[in-house]
Amino acid sequence: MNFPGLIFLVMAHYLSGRGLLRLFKLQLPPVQATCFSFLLGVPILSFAPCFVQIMGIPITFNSIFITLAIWTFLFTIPLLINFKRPAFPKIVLPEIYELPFLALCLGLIVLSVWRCYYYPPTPRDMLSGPELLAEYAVREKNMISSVYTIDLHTTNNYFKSPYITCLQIIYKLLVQPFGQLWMSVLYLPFVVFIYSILRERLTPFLASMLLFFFMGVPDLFAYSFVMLYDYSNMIFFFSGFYFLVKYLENKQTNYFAFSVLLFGIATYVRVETVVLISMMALLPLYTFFKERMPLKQVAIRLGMMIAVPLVFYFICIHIFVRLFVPIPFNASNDLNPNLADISYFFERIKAMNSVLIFGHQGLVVYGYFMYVFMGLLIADLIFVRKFNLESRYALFGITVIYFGLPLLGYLLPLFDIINTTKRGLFKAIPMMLLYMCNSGIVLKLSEKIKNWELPKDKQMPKPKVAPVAARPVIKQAPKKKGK
Amino acid sequence: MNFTKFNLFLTAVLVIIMYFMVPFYNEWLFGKIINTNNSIIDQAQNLDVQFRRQYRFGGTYITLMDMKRFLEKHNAKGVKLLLPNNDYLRAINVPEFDMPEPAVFYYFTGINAVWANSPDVESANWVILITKKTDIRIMQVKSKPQLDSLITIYKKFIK
Repeated sequence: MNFPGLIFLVMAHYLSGRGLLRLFKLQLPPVQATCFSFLLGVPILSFAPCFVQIMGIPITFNSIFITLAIWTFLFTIPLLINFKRPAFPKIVLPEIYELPFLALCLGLIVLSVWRCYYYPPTPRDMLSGPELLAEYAVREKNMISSVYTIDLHTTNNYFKSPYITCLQIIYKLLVQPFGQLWMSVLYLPFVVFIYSILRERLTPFLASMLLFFFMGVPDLFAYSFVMLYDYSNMIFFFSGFYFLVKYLENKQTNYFAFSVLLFGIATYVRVETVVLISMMALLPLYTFFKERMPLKQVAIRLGMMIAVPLVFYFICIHIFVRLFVPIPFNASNDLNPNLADISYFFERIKAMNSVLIFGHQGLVVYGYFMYVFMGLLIADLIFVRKFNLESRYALFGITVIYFGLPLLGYLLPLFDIINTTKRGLFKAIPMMLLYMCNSGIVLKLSEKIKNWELPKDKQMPKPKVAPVAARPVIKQAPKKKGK
Repeated sequence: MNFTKFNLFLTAVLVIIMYFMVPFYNEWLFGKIINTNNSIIDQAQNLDVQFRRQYRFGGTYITLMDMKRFLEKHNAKGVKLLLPNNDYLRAINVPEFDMPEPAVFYYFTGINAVWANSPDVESANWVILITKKTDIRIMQVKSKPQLDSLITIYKKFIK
């Protein structure tokens, strides 16, 4: 493995992501800002091989390295123009009771990074698509390689987004023959970001416990090192949703713009995400009308929310496929020819419930995570009956995924239950976690633990109900006796 | 010493023990996470790229590499290999070998291949014959009837 190449790439991801983040002027805690610098840097740099190919330069170590360096420099300009001393996060040592959970989480991270490095890419969808294209692009120094001369009638994976193909080209040239380590560059910051969300709302004990519970979702963990589109798609879709929620809370337009960008990146990773984003647009739409926002502003914001992901869709389908895939592509071939038959949509919902959510397959894939979420939701409905704003938004997000995936299956029959819908449901898992950390019961428990943890003299005193004044006794006036 | 914190520490340990006592998570832990067959320490002993490929893809990969070597040894040029599919292999009782589709075959070997239902199957000039359990042969096509008869057989197993 080429360690200097890996260090260069990690720094390039960070700097380019940081530069882009600076443009949005978000006021994020330092840990979250660092996480998003890495997360944004991965898709930004993924465009480099396409750029090299368009310029007609052979795809070699040197050409990719120089392009990445220039690319990173360009994205670093906002940092250089408005240079600020970086705010280093205050390092807080974990509490002793966090250590068991955090040690397990660290173990999972080490294992994920190792397997990412050690194993070659295995999913069939990759070996007959992006990985195949990347491998031959590196061997033949050209993205339009001999792959397009062979028999491809058994697959359509070469039409998929250039995201993985390009990242694989970069990592194969600069790091190791299997590429893949970009997945760890996404996985680690995302886990830290999730932990920071949990810590903002809960006591460290519950936050570390929920983080471990989240990381221990069996297939979610597996896809942190098995190369496919869905883990990245989940990261960017959830991040977009999170910043949309932040925008609805603080009404700062830059948060909305950032959310839209993240939704756009999610579409770049998986183009059909645009359907889910359109459904998600109902959330701000409802809020805008509730706040009586002028119609023009509503139209502009919603237009932005749909248009930016559509631009990324356009880049994937109409630029990448047209320029780099010398095989005719007709998107309508994948569409359900019998759209009038709505019953297929309900069949999809039924199948998703019976096979994935409540079936044995669901247990194998998601463990008990979804059941715990459902149990908590029911308990909140019965015992607490109060939902804060964030938990209601999280429930809306989960509803969008719940109905959106069957809708995608209805529109695109290739979007099957066992593979595509199964992995599509990953997007609901961080939203369920967001709900869990806002659940009335969990918040009460967190408060109790926090109080228990503090020494008695620092505990919040229980409010004593005492009369401030003696209850006035109203004496009835004696009835006048009649004459 | 803050005993509340220590109590919480013990609670965390207890939660973890209970978590992994659930049969499903217990199987996951010992089957997928700390599986002795793929421990990091053992794997770190051999970092060779070719070894890692063999380790991950198993017998199928080794067989495909043998096929590649065979064709290289026979100086075969412009090869287009007719492959049987997995349903055919299962039908003739070859359980452990998976024949990849043409695109994946090309990924591993760099050899152009076709299935019996491929549009340009007629241009295949080499064929893979699997007669019984471990007997895999690669043959050059000698006549069109020979190729046609194989295509007919292999096609029966393509759904």
